[in-house]
Amino acid sequence: MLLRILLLNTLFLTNLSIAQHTISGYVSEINSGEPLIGATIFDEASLKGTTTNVYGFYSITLTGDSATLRFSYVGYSNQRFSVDLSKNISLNIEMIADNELEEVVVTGESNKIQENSQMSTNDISMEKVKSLPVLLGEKDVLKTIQLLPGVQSGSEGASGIYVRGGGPDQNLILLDGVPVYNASHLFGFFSVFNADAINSVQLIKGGFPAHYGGRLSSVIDIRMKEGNMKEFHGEGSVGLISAKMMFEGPIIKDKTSFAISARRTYIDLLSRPFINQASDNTGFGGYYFYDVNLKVNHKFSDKSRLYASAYLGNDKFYARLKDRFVSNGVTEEFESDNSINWGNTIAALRWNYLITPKLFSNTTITYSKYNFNVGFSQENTSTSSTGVESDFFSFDYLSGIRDYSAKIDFDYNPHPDHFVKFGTGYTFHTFTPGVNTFRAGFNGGNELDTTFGSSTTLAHEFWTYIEDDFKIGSRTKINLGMHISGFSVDNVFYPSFQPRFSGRFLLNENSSIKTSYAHMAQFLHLLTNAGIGLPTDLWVPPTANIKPQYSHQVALGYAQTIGNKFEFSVEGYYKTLENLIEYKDGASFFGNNEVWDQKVEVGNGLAYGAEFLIEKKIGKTSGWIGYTLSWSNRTFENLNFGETFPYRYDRRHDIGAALTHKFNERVDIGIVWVYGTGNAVTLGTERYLSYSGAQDMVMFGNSNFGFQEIEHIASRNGYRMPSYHRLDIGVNLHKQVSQKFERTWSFGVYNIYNRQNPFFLYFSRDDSGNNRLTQISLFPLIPSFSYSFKF
Amino acid sequence: MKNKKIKYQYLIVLISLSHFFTSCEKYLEFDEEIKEPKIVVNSIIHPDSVFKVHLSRSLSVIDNGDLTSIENGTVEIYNENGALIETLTHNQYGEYRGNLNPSEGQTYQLKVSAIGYESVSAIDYIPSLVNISNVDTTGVENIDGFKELKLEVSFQDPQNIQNYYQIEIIRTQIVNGDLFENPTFIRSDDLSTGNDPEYYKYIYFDDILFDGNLKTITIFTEDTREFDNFIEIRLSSLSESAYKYSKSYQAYSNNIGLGNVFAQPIQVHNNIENGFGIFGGVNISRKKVTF
Repeated sequence: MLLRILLLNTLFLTNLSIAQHTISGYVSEINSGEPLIGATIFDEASLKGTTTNVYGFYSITLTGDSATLRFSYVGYSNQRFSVDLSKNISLNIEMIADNELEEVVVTGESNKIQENSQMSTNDISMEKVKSLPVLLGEKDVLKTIQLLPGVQSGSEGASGIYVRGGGPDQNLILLDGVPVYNASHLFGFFSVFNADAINSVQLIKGGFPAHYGGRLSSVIDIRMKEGNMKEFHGEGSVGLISAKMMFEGPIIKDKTSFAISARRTYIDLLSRPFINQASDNTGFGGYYFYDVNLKVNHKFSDKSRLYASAYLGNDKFYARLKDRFVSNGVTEEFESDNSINWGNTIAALRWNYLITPKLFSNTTITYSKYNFNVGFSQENTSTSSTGVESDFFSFDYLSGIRDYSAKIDFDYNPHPDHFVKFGTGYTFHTFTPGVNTFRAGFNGGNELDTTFGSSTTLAHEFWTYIEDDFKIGSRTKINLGMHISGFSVDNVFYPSFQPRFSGRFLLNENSSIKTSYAHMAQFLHLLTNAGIGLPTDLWVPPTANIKPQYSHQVALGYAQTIGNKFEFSVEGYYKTLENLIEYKDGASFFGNNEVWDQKVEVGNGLAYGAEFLIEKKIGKTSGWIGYTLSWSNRTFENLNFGETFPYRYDRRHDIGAALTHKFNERVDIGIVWVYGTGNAVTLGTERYLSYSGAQDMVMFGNSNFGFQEIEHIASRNGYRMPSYHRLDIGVNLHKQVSQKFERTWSFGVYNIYNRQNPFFLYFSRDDSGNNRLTQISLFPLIPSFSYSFKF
Repeated sequence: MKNKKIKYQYLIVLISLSHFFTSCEKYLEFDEEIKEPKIVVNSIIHPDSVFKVHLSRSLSVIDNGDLTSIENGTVEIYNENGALIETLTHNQYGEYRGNLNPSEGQTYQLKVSAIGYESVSAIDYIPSLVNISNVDTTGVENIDGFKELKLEVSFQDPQNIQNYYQIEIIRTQIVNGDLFENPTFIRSDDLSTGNDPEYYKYIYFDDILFDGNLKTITIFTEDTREFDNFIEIRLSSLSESAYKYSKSYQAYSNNIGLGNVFAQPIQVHNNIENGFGIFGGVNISRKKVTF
């Protein structure tokens, strides 16, 4: 039925016979040529409008003889063009940043919160990401997203994202349209996204448009910078833990450009001399991560454009030991090499082609890989007068997921009141949930070479969708869509039909009510021991026994623009989650994962709550305050004795405030305050004695021998940690050193009032021998600074 | 063994990580209400022995008093018609004994009261005996000097009822006419058990994947034929409660310590109403393998 409405809508529109012409083109930033995503185009004559897509492309089809188009984008001066509508027109616009931000008049037709049919969506300004203070001064997109309502941050300092009661695996994190499987460095303390390389970020928590699919709880759509089309520029910074550099410019002016950025931490390099000294040069070890982003794009014509982008990131712990000694005339040499490393590799090739001024196409081929590897090897050599003897031993553990994907997406703008998207795609997945390889040998021979553990699993995923964002009358705008997907693995096929709906009804010029429904399917599970985003977490496909994850979410909201400067929204949501997995009691990722589907329990989840957000996007003081009231529960037949229990990140109250103030061109400050109800943890309440196994009682005849103390856990996640709160303050001092060179000193203090926030609770004995509940905190007040520059 | 190495590697990383950041410890008030002591029952019943029940007390987790035995309790066994069949008498250290042996297929109710405690009760049954039909010693595998004996244990699973099993091996030495029994660690690479192929004291599994069939399970144990006179293989048929208790208990024991810092704590199964512990029925089939 839904499909039929959509198809009729589309067919009807293509057959409109009234004289009409299309104005289309790209909107970009004047100095760099970077596309402006979501810029508004409005015809003052017909009062019709549209917005640019993720490539900065727009298309508007109008009737009549002429039109006066106004182009607007927050932070940029409006531009007005009168056009003659006797034929189709191609019109590319370059917008100029308006530095007099206070003076910007945001006109009624700009992309205001109440106008959109889409709800539960936040655009994150990169400007904000860069000016807000953050742990160790490492600017981080995901940590800025954590400050928004509906997003829980997980544990202290981590960049985990838990949206509306969902799990960490349920976020579709897209980097230039390619899913990123592990978005964190260093066990979640930093995200893999280098803020310097990013152009725009959007978070969607509900009412998902039909063109997105594959995850249950959120979409984080990150677009990398295309690279400056006009001139060479660079920026970089040196901070407490890392240094980074970004360089961009034209290869052929206004035709081909590139952007490359790289980041590496250097604690290991700084500490190596000390370790060498301490270990007598027999060994060294350390940790580092790096990431590299590369993008090249080429404009063949106004109709055709090619983008190639790549991301490579890796984390590595390593320890090398080497020793040599002589004893009784025999020289013994010992060498061992240990490492744990993990990382993502992502590549995408995209081709935009404008088939007609109304029909924009994008064809994408992508590759995404996540690997986790533990390796150690050891080699011993003894040299004596009788000869040389050697033996070696090595062990490798490898797990990961690899995707090849192809898709084609269309934007079709037949009429100013309709914005149609449709497309289809296919992904070939290779799952490797844990392969162990042992090798051992003696005197150069290979005596043992075995591989065990799970074999790889191949799977096919496809999807197709259609959606129309259309107006009915002057007050109602609806986005109606259908996403159809299917997954085939080991002779099982899981199809899924996912209707999507979102709509707004304008109450008056400044306010609207919105509602949405989305059914989502996720053909992936994450096997995780703690749910805190460790690199050991395994991505696994559904199997014949373990079905895909599904969710249904309804939301109702109210949005208002107050006095042109403030945006206010309140939303309530109700979400059900099906086929979630958890390890059985006592099972873990260590061991044989070939039978992982027998090591897990399957259950359901329920999440509901309300979110309030007040945001000021322009002016010297800008930022937001968000409040979330929420519940998130899980029910598993074989966990917690079948009783419903709170999700680990069930958080009744959550407040996130992020404010920046610009005193002048040289000084700005950023303030972050967060408050959250304590995480739900599992603690024993009572203790008692139990026999060590059923049979012992027979053997030992019920004597007092063979008892063990048990801590009774009344409910999983039944105890609340103390609440979490923290204030961070940062100041950025900018200076235009020369006409082309600007430097910034950033100073920040994390946790300025030195709150001892709970990270972990356990029972221990105090000095008087009493059992006490004991809290471990991670980060006290931590100052940071960094030096950055731009040219 | 191999997996242990990964664990240590991982721990090294975690420890170095904890040095990497400053951490800080402090005591908190425990917000839960302080629970009154309850009666704890430990009783595994089987047809080879008279009824035996052990009683002790529970304490709040922050009370570090002793978990003492209860020696003044009244322990009664009822049959499934609700008739009292036996009152057990205190033997020693909180252990109570009767004169009757439980019978296969019967359901029993336990009622316990003691001054100063809320009374507790529990119900369980003695499952049918499932005999070991055959044991084959199919060879010895030598891995890095560690000799493993491979045993194939067969039994006929009863059809259309859910059965729960436990396997263990007891090594037995006869020294000067005295019998010395030692439980030994065993592993199984039978994936249908859902266990990791690591060494455990007991292997637990149910019959979901082989209901009503002749099942042969392969188990490995250390080859100790040089020292032992014989080994005894015990296949126990467990009631659902006894199975859940034993399995969760073994997981709990394995989970203690640093090995699994990130794993969820284990909830040990408990079938005592108003109290803690287990009243579980077991039926044991034994088979000796003499060398």
